[in-house]
Amino acid sequence: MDINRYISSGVLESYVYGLLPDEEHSEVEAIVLRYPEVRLVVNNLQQQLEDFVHNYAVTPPPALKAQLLDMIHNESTPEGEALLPEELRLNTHMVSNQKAAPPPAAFTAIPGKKKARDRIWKYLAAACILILVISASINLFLLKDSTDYKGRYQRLIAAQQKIDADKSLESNQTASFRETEGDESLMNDPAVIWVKTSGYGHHNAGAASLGWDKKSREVYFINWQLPEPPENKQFHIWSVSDHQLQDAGMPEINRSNTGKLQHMRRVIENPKAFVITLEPKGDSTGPDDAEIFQTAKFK
Amino acid sequence: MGATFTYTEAELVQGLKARDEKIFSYLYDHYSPALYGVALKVITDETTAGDVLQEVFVKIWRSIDKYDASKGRLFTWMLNIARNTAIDSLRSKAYKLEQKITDVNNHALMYEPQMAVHLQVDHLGLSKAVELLQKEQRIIIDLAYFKGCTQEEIAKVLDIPLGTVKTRMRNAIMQLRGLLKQQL
Repeated sequence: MDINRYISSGVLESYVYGLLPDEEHSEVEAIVLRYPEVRLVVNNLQQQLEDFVHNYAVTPPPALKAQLLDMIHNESTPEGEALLPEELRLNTHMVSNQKAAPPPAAFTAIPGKKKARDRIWKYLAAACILILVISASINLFLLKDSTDYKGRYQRLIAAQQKIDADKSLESNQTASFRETEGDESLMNDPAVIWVKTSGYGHHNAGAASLGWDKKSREVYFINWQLPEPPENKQFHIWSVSDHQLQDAGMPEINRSNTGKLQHMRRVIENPKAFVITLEPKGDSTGPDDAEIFQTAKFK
Repeated sequence: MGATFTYTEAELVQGLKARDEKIFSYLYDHYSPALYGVALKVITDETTAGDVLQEVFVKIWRSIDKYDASKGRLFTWMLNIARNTAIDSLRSKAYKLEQKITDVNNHALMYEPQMAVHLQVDHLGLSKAVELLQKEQRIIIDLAYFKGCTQEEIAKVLDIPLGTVKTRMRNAIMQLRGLLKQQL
Protein backbone atom coordinates (compact mmCIF):
# COMPACT_ATOMS: atom_id res chain seq x y z
CA MET A 1 0.00 0.00 0.00
CA ASP A 2 1.34 3.40 -0.99
CA ILE A 3 0.94 5.18 2.34
CA ASN A 4 1.97 8.62 1.11
CA ARG A 5 -0.56 8.46 -1.65
CA TYR A 6 -3.19 7.29 0.79
CA ILE A 7 -2.40 10.16 3.14
CA SER A 8 -2.62 12.73 0.38
CA SER A 9 -5.84 11.33 -1.09
CA GLY A 10 -8.03 13.35 1.27
CA VAL A 11 -9.62 10.27 2.82
CA LEU A 12 -8.16 10.98 6.26
CA GLU A 13 -9.55 14.52 6.32
CA SER A 14 -12.93 13.16 5.29
CA TYR A 15 -12.65 10.51 8.01
CA VAL A 16 -11.87 12.95 10.80
CA TYR A 17 -14.57 15.38 9.69
CA GLY A 18 -17.17 12.61 9.56
CA LEU A 19 -17.77 12.57 5.85
CA LEU A 20 -17.21 8.87 5.16
CA PRO A 21 -19.93 6.24 4.93
CA ASP A 22 -19.80 3.50 7.58
CA GLU A 23 -17.84 0.88 5.62
CA GLU A 24 -15.18 3.32 4.51
CA HIS A 25 -15.01 4.67 8.06
CA SER A 26 -14.23 1.20 9.43
CA GLU A 27 -11.62 0.67 6.70
CA VAL A 28 -9.80 3.83 7.72
CA GLU A 29 -9.96 2.83 11.38
CA ALA A 30 -8.25 -0.45 10.56
CA ILE A 31 -5.54 1.32 8.56
CA VAL A 32 -4.99 3.85 11.36
CA LEU A 33 -4.30 1.02 13.79
CA ARG A 34 -1.96 -0.67 11.34
CA TYR A 35 0.16 2.24 10.09
CA PRO A 36 1.72 4.58 12.71
CA GLU A 37 2.40 7.28 10.11
CA VAL A 38 -1.31 7.35 9.21
CA ARG A 39 -2.18 7.48 12.88
CA LEU A 40 0.09 10.47 13.35
CA VAL A 41 -1.67 12.34 10.55
CA VAL A 42 -5.07 11.44 11.98
CA ASN A 43 -4.03 12.60 15.46
CA ASN A 44 -2.91 15.91 14.02
CA LEU A 45 -6.14 16.29 12.13
CA GLN A 46 -8.16 15.51 15.25
CA GLN A 47 -6.19 18.10 17.17
CA GLN A 48 -6.84 20.58 14.40
CA LEU A 49 -10.56 19.79 14.44
CA GLU A 50 -10.59 20.48 18.17
CA ASP A 51 -8.90 23.83 17.61
CA PHE A 52 -11.39 24.55 14.85
CA VAL A 53 -14.52 23.87 16.93
CA HIS A 54 -13.16 26.02 19.77
CA ASN A 55 -13.75 28.90 17.39
CA TYR A 56 -17.46 28.28 17.74
CA ALA A 57 -17.50 27.80 21.54
CA VAL A 58 -20.48 29.39 23.28
CA THR A 59 -21.11 29.27 27.04
CA PRO A 60 -24.32 27.29 27.61
CA PRO A 61 -27.12 28.70 29.78
CA PRO A 62 -26.04 28.30 33.46
CA ALA A 63 -29.22 26.44 34.47
CA LEU A 64 -28.24 23.50 32.25
CA LYS A 65 -25.40 22.38 34.50
CA ALA A 66 -27.54 22.20 37.64
CA GLN A 67 -30.20 20.18 35.77
CA LEU A 68 -27.57 17.86 34.39
CA LEU A 69 -25.92 17.28 37.75
CA ASP A 70 -29.35 16.60 39.17
CA MET A 71 -29.98 14.03 36.47
CA ILE A 72 -26.81 12.08 37.02
CA HIS A 73 -26.96 12.42 40.78
CA ASN A 74 -30.41 10.89 40.91
CA GLU A 75 -30.05 8.60 37.93
CA SER A 76 -30.56 5.49 40.02
CA THR A 77 -33.91 6.70 41.34
CA PRO A 78 -37.14 6.67 39.33
CA GLU A 79 -37.37 10.48 39.67
CA GLY A 80 -33.85 10.94 38.30
CA GLU A 81 -34.48 8.42 35.56
CA ALA A 82 -37.58 10.33 34.53
CA LEU A 83 -35.47 13.44 33.98
CA LEU A 84 -33.32 11.69 31.39
CA PRO A 85 -34.09 11.74 27.67
CA GLU A 86 -36.23 8.69 26.93
CA GLU A 87 -33.67 6.77 24.90
CA LEU A 88 -31.07 7.11 27.63
CA ARG A 89 -33.17 5.61 30.38
CA LEU A 90 -31.93 2.31 31.70
CA ASN A 91 -35.09 1.25 33.49
CA THR A 92 -37.85 2.45 31.24
CA HIS A 93 -40.41 0.21 32.92
CA MET A 94 -39.60 1.77 36.26
CA VAL A 95 -40.22 5.24 34.92
CA SER A 96 -43.21 4.32 32.88
CA ASN A 97 -44.76 2.70 35.93
CA GLN A 98 -43.95 5.76 37.92
CA LYS A 99 -45.32 8.10 35.34
CA ALA A 100 -48.23 5.94 34.30
CA ALA A 101 -51.48 7.77 34.56
CA PRO A 102 -53.68 6.63 37.41
CA PRO A 103 -56.45 4.31 36.36
CA PRO A 104 -59.54 6.23 35.33
CA ALA A 105 -61.87 7.03 38.16
CA ALA A 106 -64.66 4.54 38.57
CA PHE A 107 -67.80 5.46 36.74
CA THR A 108 -70.81 6.22 38.77
CA ALA A 109 -72.70 3.01 39.25
CA ILE A 110 -75.58 2.66 36.84
CA PRO A 111 -78.68 1.32 38.47
CA GLY A 112 -79.21 -2.26 37.39
CA LYS A 113 -82.83 -1.92 36.49
CA LYS A 114 -84.19 0.66 34.14
CA LYS A 115 -87.71 1.42 33.45
CA ALA A 116 -88.83 0.31 29.96
CA ARG A 117 -90.56 3.64 29.35
CA ASP A 118 -87.31 5.54 29.85
CA ARG A 119 -85.60 3.32 27.32
CA ILE A 120 -88.26 3.97 24.63
CA TRP A 121 -87.90 7.72 25.07
CA LYS A 122 -84.15 7.41 24.74
CA TYR A 123 -84.43 5.41 21.48
CA LEU A 124 -86.89 7.93 20.10
CA ALA A 125 -84.64 10.86 20.97
CA ALA A 126 -81.62 9.11 19.38
CA ALA A 127 -83.60 8.39 16.18
CA CYS A 128 -84.70 12.05 15.94
CA ILE A 129 -81.15 13.29 16.30
CA LEU A 130 -79.95 10.86 13.64
CA ILE A 131 -82.62 11.98 11.18
CA LEU A 132 -81.76 15.62 11.85
CA VAL A 133 -78.05 15.00 11.19
CA ILE A 134 -78.73 13.11 7.93
CA SER A 135 -81.08 15.82 6.72
CA ALA A 136 -78.58 18.57 7.52
CA SER A 137 -75.80 16.69 5.68
CA ILE A 138 -77.95 16.25 2.55
CA ASN A 139 -78.80 19.96 2.53
CA LEU A 140 -75.18 20.90 2.92
CA PHE A 141 -74.15 18.56 0.11
CA LEU A 142 -76.75 19.97 -2.26
CA LEU A 143 -75.82 23.55 -1.39
CA LYS A 144 -72.14 22.87 -2.01
CA ASP A 145 -72.92 21.20 -5.31
CA SER A 146 -74.89 24.16 -6.60
CA THR A 147 -72.19 26.67 -5.64
CA ASP A 148 -69.63 24.37 -7.23
CA TYR A 149 -71.32 24.83 -10.62
CA LYS A 150 -70.85 28.56 -10.30
CA GLY A 151 -67.17 28.05 -9.35
CA ARG A 152 -66.58 25.74 -12.29
CA TYR A 153 -68.19 28.19 -14.69
CA GLN A 154 -65.98 31.00 -13.42
CA ARG A 155 -62.88 28.81 -13.67
CA LEU A 156 -63.74 27.94 -17.27
CA ILE A 157 -64.09 31.62 -18.18
CA ALA A 158 -60.74 32.38 -16.47
CA ALA A 159 -59.06 29.52 -18.33
CA GLN A 160 -60.45 30.75 -21.66
CA GLN A 161 -59.17 34.25 -20.95
CA LYS A 162 -55.73 32.88 -20.08
CA ILE A 163 -55.58 30.88 -23.31
CA ASP A 164 -56.51 33.99 -25.31
CA ALA A 165 -53.84 36.03 -23.48
CA ASP A 166 -51.18 33.36 -24.03
CA LYS A 167 -52.08 33.18 -27.69
CA SER A 168 -51.66 36.88 -28.20
CA LEU A 169 -48.35 36.89 -26.26
CA GLU A 170 -47.06 33.99 -28.32
CA SER A 171 -47.97 35.70 -31.58
CA ASN A 172 -46.19 38.88 -30.45
CA GLN A 173 -43.09 36.96 -29.52
CA THR A 174 -42.95 34.91 -32.70
CA ALA A 175 -43.35 38.13 -34.66
CA SER A 176 -40.22 39.55 -33.07
CA PHE A 177 -38.25 36.39 -33.67
CA ARG A 178 -39.25 36.26 -37.26
CA GLU A 179 -37.31 39.41 -37.98
CA THR A 180 -34.21 37.34 -38.58
CA GLU A 181 -34.53 33.81 -39.84
CA GLY A 182 -31.24 32.78 -38.20
CA ASP A 183 -32.30 33.98 -34.78
CA GLU A 184 -35.43 31.89 -34.87
CA SER A 185 -33.43 28.74 -35.54
CA LEU A 186 -31.19 29.51 -32.55
CA MET A 187 -34.14 28.92 -30.27
CA ASN A 188 -34.31 25.31 -31.44
CA ASP A 189 -30.62 24.69 -32.01
CA PRO A 190 -29.56 21.77 -29.76
CA ALA A 191 -26.11 23.35 -29.39
CA VAL A 192 -27.65 26.36 -27.66
CA ILE A 193 -28.56 26.03 -23.98
CA TRP A 194 -31.38 28.34 -22.96
CA VAL A 195 -32.13 29.32 -19.39
CA LYS A 196 -34.72 31.66 -17.95
CA THR A 197 -33.18 33.92 -15.37
CA SER A 198 -34.08 33.90 -11.67
CA GLY A 199 -34.79 37.13 -9.84
CA TYR A 200 -32.12 38.24 -7.38
CA GLY A 201 -33.25 39.89 -4.15
CA HIS A 202 -36.58 41.59 -4.73
CA HIS A 203 -36.34 41.45 -8.52
CA ASN A 204 -38.87 39.39 -10.48
CA ALA A 205 -37.93 35.97 -11.75
CA GLY A 206 -37.94 35.27 -15.46
CA ALA A 207 -37.16 38.83 -16.50
CA ALA A 208 -34.86 37.60 -19.26
CA SER A 209 -33.66 34.51 -21.12
CA LEU A 210 -30.02 33.69 -21.72
CA GLY A 211 -28.63 31.29 -24.25
CA TRP A 212 -25.12 29.97 -24.71
CA ASP A 213 -23.91 28.26 -27.85
CA LYS A 214 -21.60 25.40 -26.92
CA LYS A 215 -20.00 25.47 -30.40
CA SER A 216 -19.58 29.14 -31.19
CA ARG A 217 -19.43 30.10 -27.45
CA GLU A 218 -21.67 33.04 -28.25
CA VAL A 219 -24.10 34.36 -25.63
CA TYR A 220 -27.67 35.31 -26.57
CA PHE A 221 -30.00 37.46 -24.60
CA ILE A 222 -33.73 38.14 -24.71
CA ASN A 223 -35.30 40.74 -22.48
CA TRP A 224 -38.82 40.14 -21.22
CA GLN A 225 -39.29 42.36 -18.21
CA LEU A 226 -36.06 44.21 -17.37
CA PRO A 227 -36.84 47.90 -17.01
CA GLU A 228 -35.15 50.55 -19.12
CA PRO A 229 -32.05 51.63 -17.18
CA PRO A 230 -31.67 55.24 -15.97
CA GLU A 231 -29.58 57.47 -18.25
CA ASN A 232 -26.35 57.12 -16.29
CA LYS A 233 -26.62 53.36 -15.88
CA GLN A 234 -26.36 50.24 -18.02
CA PHE A 235 -27.18 46.57 -17.72
CA HIS A 236 -24.24 44.20 -17.96
CA ILE A 237 -24.12 40.43 -18.41
CA TRP A 238 -21.35 38.48 -16.71
CA SER A 239 -20.60 34.82 -17.05
CA VAL A 240 -19.28 33.06 -13.92
CA SER A 241 -17.15 29.94 -14.18
CA ASP A 242 -15.00 28.60 -11.36
CA HIS A 243 -15.05 32.04 -9.79
CA GLN A 244 -13.73 33.59 -12.98
CA LEU A 245 -15.75 36.41 -14.39
CA GLN A 246 -16.14 36.85 -18.12
CA ASP A 247 -17.66 39.90 -19.66
CA ALA A 248 -20.56 38.87 -21.90
CA GLY A 249 -21.39 42.42 -22.88
CA MET A 250 -24.09 44.99 -22.34
CA PRO A 251 -27.57 44.35 -23.70
CA GLU A 252 -29.78 47.11 -24.99
CA ILE A 253 -32.93 47.44 -22.97
CA ASN A 254 -35.78 49.44 -24.46
CA ARG A 255 -39.41 48.93 -25.27
CA SER A 256 -38.85 48.16 -28.92
CA ASN A 257 -36.51 45.24 -28.39
CA THR A 258 -38.43 43.40 -25.67
CA GLY A 259 -38.70 39.76 -26.71
CA LYS A 260 -36.03 40.12 -29.38
CA LEU A 261 -32.88 38.08 -29.46
CA GLN A 262 -29.64 40.00 -28.98
CA HIS A 263 -26.21 38.64 -29.81
CA MET A 264 -23.80 39.21 -26.96
CA ARG A 265 -20.06 38.56 -26.61
CA ARG A 266 -18.54 35.14 -26.77
CA VAL A 267 -17.41 33.54 -23.51
CA ILE A 268 -14.64 31.00 -23.78
CA GLU A 269 -14.88 29.21 -20.43
CA ASN A 270 -17.99 27.06 -19.93
CA PRO A 271 -20.32 29.25 -17.89
CA LYS A 272 -21.66 27.89 -14.61
CA ALA A 273 -23.92 30.84 -14.10
CA PHE A 274 -24.80 34.23 -15.52
CA VAL A 275 -25.37 37.39 -13.60
CA ILE A 276 -27.14 40.45 -14.94
CA THR A 277 -26.20 43.62 -13.12
CA LEU A 278 -27.07 47.27 -13.30
CA GLU A 279 -23.95 49.40 -13.07
CA PRO A 280 -22.83 52.98 -13.67
CA LYS A 281 -22.28 53.67 -17.37
CA GLY A 282 -18.74 53.12 -18.61
CA ASP A 283 -17.77 50.97 -15.63
CA SER A 284 -16.70 47.54 -16.80
CA THR A 285 -14.35 46.61 -14.01
CA GLY A 286 -16.67 44.00 -12.55
CA PRO A 287 -19.96 43.71 -10.75
CA ASP A 288 -18.58 44.63 -7.35
CA ASP A 289 -20.33 47.98 -7.15
CA ALA A 290 -23.25 46.95 -9.25
CA GLU A 291 -26.71 45.86 -8.28
CA ILE A 292 -27.54 42.30 -9.22
CA PHE A 293 -30.89 41.98 -10.98
CA GLN A 294 -30.97 38.45 -12.34
CA THR A 295 -28.99 35.24 -12.07
CA ALA A 296 -29.12 32.07 -14.16
CA LYS A 297 -27.53 28.76 -13.27
CA PHE A 298 -26.19 26.55 -16.04
CA LYS A 299 -25.90 22.82 -15.44
CA MET B 1 -11.28 30.09 48.07
CA GLY B 2 -11.37 26.90 46.06
CA ALA B 3 -8.14 25.85 44.44
CA THR B 4 -8.15 25.21 40.69
CA PHE B 5 -7.48 21.62 39.88
CA THR B 6 -6.37 20.31 36.56
CA TYR B 7 -6.63 16.71 35.54
CA THR B 8 -4.83 14.66 32.96
CA GLU B 9 -6.92 12.92 30.35
CA ALA B 10 -6.28 9.55 31.98
CA GLU B 11 -7.46 10.93 35.33
CA LEU B 12 -10.61 12.26 33.75
CA VAL B 13 -11.39 8.89 32.17
CA GLN B 14 -10.64 7.10 35.43
CA GLY B 15 -12.79 9.54 37.39
CA LEU B 16 -15.73 9.15 35.04
CA LYS B 17 -15.45 5.39 35.22
CA ALA B 18 -15.44 5.66 39.01
CA ARG B 19 -18.68 7.75 38.79
CA ASP B 20 -16.95 10.75 40.36
CA GLU B 21 -19.37 13.67 40.05
CA LYS B 22 -16.65 16.21 40.80
CA ILE B 23 -14.73 15.04 37.73
CA PHE B 24 -17.94 15.19 35.73
CA SER B 25 -18.51 18.74 36.87
CA TYR B 26 -14.94 19.65 35.89
CA LEU B 27 -15.44 18.04 32.49
CA TYR B 28 -18.62 20.03 31.98
CA ASP B 29 -17.00 23.32 32.95
CA HIS B 30 -14.11 22.81 30.57
CA TYR B 31 -15.76 21.25 27.56
CA SER B 32 -19.41 22.32 27.53
CA PRO B 33 -18.82 25.62 25.66
CA ALA B 34 -17.12 23.83 22.75
CA LEU B 35 -19.75 21.08 22.64
CA TYR B 36 -22.62 23.54 22.98
CA GLY B 37 -21.07 25.58 20.17
CA VAL B 38 -21.09 22.53 17.92
CA ALA B 39 -24.71 21.74 18.81
CA LEU B 40 -25.71 25.34 18.11
CA LYS B 41 -23.89 25.35 14.79
CA VAL B 42 -25.77 22.23 13.72
CA ILE B 43 -29.21 23.10 15.07
CA THR B 44 -29.20 26.89 15.64
CA ASP B 45 -32.19 26.69 17.98
CA GLU B 46 -30.91 27.38 21.50
CA THR B 47 -33.48 25.30 23.38
CA THR B 48 -32.89 22.23 21.23
CA ALA B 49 -29.14 22.75 21.41
CA GLY B 50 -29.42 22.86 25.21
CA ASP B 51 -31.35 19.57 25.20
CA VAL B 52 -28.71 18.09 22.92
CA LEU B 53 -25.93 19.23 25.25
CA GLN B 54 -27.59 17.55 28.23
CA GLU B 55 -28.07 14.38 26.23
CA VAL B 56 -24.41 14.48 25.19
CA PHE B 57 -23.17 14.71 28.76
CA VAL B 58 -25.49 11.94 29.94
CA LYS B 59 -24.15 9.79 27.09
CA ILE B 60 -20.57 10.61 28.12
CA TRP B 61 -21.39 9.73 31.73
CA ARG B 62 -23.11 6.49 30.83
CA SER B 63 -20.89 5.30 27.98
CA ILE B 64 -17.43 6.14 29.28
CA ASP B 65 -16.63 2.41 29.28
CA LYS B 66 -16.99 2.44 25.49
CA TYR B 67 -14.31 5.10 25.08
CA ASP B 68 -11.31 3.61 23.27
CA ALA B 69 -8.15 5.69 23.76
CA SER B 70 -6.49 4.02 20.76
CA LYS B 71 -8.95 5.75 18.43
CA GLY B 72 -8.34 9.26 19.65
CA ARG B 73 -8.30 11.66 22.54
CA LEU B 74 -11.17 11.95 25.03
CA PHE B 75 -12.23 15.31 23.64
CA THR B 76 -12.34 13.92 20.09
CA TRP B 77 -14.64 11.16 21.36
CA MET B 78 -16.85 13.69 23.18
CA LEU B 79 -16.90 15.87 20.10
CA ASN B 80 -18.07 12.94 17.97
CA ILE B 81 -20.87 12.25 20.43
CA ALA B 82 -21.90 15.91 20.36
CA ARG B 83 -21.87 16.17 16.58
CA ASN B 84 -23.71 12.89 16.04
CA THR B 85 -26.34 13.66 18.68
CA ALA B 86 -26.92 17.10 17.20
CA ILE B 87 -27.18 15.75 13.65
CA ASP B 88 -29.56 12.99 14.79
CA SER B 89 -31.69 15.62 16.43
CA LEU B 90 -31.60 17.69 13.26
CA ARG B 91 -32.77 14.68 11.24
CA SER B 92 -35.37 13.58 13.72
CA LYS B 93 -36.93 16.99 13.46
CA ALA B 94 -37.84 16.01 9.91
CA TYR B 95 -35.53 18.44 8.22
CA LYS B 96 -35.72 17.01 4.76
CA LEU B 97 -32.83 16.86 2.36
CA GLU B 98 -34.58 19.24 0.01
CA GLN B 99 -34.81 21.80 2.76
CA LYS B 100 -31.15 21.35 3.58
CA ILE B 101 -30.14 21.63 -0.04
CA THR B 102 -32.31 24.69 -0.54
CA ASP B 103 -30.71 26.32 2.48
CA VAL B 104 -27.27 25.42 1.34
CA ASN B 105 -27.98 26.43 -2.22
CA ASN B 106 -28.87 29.82 -0.93
CA HIS B 107 -25.65 29.78 1.05
CA ALA B 108 -23.74 28.64 -2.01
CA LEU B 109 -25.08 31.63 -3.88
CA MET B 110 -24.06 33.89 -1.03
CA TYR B 111 -20.65 32.35 -1.02
CA GLU B 112 -20.05 33.18 -4.66
CA PRO B 113 -17.29 35.72 -4.09
CA GLN B 114 -18.72 38.11 -6.66
CA MET B 115 -22.05 38.15 -4.89
CA ALA B 116 -20.80 38.11 -1.34
CA VAL B 117 -20.13 41.83 -1.62
CA HIS B 118 -23.82 42.51 -1.65
CA LEU B 119 -24.75 40.38 1.31
CA GLN B 120 -24.02 41.35 4.83
CA VAL B 121 -23.42 37.90 6.32
CA ASP B 122 -22.90 38.23 10.00
CA HIS B 123 -20.40 35.85 11.54
CA LEU B 124 -20.47 36.97 15.13
CA GLY B 125 -18.29 35.05 17.48
CA LEU B 126 -16.05 33.62 14.81
CA SER B 127 -12.35 34.08 15.07
CA LYS B 128 -10.43 35.67 12.29
CA ALA B 129 -8.94 32.32 11.29
CA VAL B 130 -12.30 30.93 10.33
CA GLU B 131 -13.35 34.15 8.72
CA LEU B 132 -10.24 34.13 6.61
CA LEU B 133 -11.05 30.69 5.30
CA GLN B 134 -12.16 31.05 1.72
CA LYS B 135 -15.91 30.93 1.43
CA GLU B 136 -15.78 27.90 -0.82
CA GLN B 137 -13.61 26.05 1.69
CA ARG B 138 -15.74 27.07 4.61
CA ILE B 139 -18.91 25.84 3.00
CA ILE B 140 -17.52 22.37 2.34
CA ILE B 141 -16.45 22.03 5.99
CA ASP B 142 -19.80 23.36 7.18
CA LEU B 143 -21.70 20.93 5.00
CA ALA B 144 -19.63 17.92 5.97
CA TYR B 145 -19.08 18.56 9.62
CA PHE B 146 -21.95 20.65 10.85
CA LYS B 147 -24.76 19.55 8.55
CA GLY B 148 -23.73 15.91 8.28
CA CYS B 149 -24.07 15.89 4.48
CA THR B 150 -22.82 12.84 2.63
CA GLN B 151 -20.27 13.10 -0.17
CA GLU B 152 -23.08 12.64 -2.69
CA GLU B 153 -25.06 15.49 -1.18
CA ILE B 154 -22.03 17.77 -1.16
CA ALA B 155 -21.27 16.91 -4.79
CA LYS B 156 -24.86 17.74 -5.68
CA VAL B 157 -25.02 20.96 -3.73
CA LEU B 158 -21.68 22.31 -4.92
CA ASP B 159 -22.23 20.90 -8.39
CA ILE B 160 -18.87 19.13 -8.47
CA PRO B 161 -17.99 15.53 -9.41
CA LEU B 162 -18.23 13.03 -6.56
CA GLY B 163 -14.54 12.19 -6.91
CA THR B 164 -13.59 15.80 -6.30
CA VAL B 165 -15.29 16.05 -2.89
CA LYS B 166 -12.47 14.41 -0.92
CA THR B 167 -9.75 16.46 -2.58
CA ARG B 168 -11.74 19.66 -2.03
CA MET B 169 -12.17 18.63 1.59
CA ARG B 170 -8.45 18.07 1.91
CA ASN B 171 -7.66 21.44 0.37
CA ALA B 172 -10.12 23.13 2.69
CA ILE B 173 -8.63 21.48 5.76
CA MET B 174 -5.07 22.24 4.65
CA GLN B 175 -5.99 25.87 4.29
CA LEU B 176 -7.66 25.78 7.69
CA ARG B 177 -4.56 24.22 9.21
CA GLY B 178 -2.42 27.09 7.97
CA LEU B 179 -4.84 29.65 9.35
CA LEU B 180 -5.15 27.96 12.73
CA LYS B 181 -1.37 27.86 13.04
CA GLN B 182 -1.22 31.60 12.46
CA GLN B 183 -3.85 32.06 15.13
CA LEU B 184 -2.02 30.03 17.79
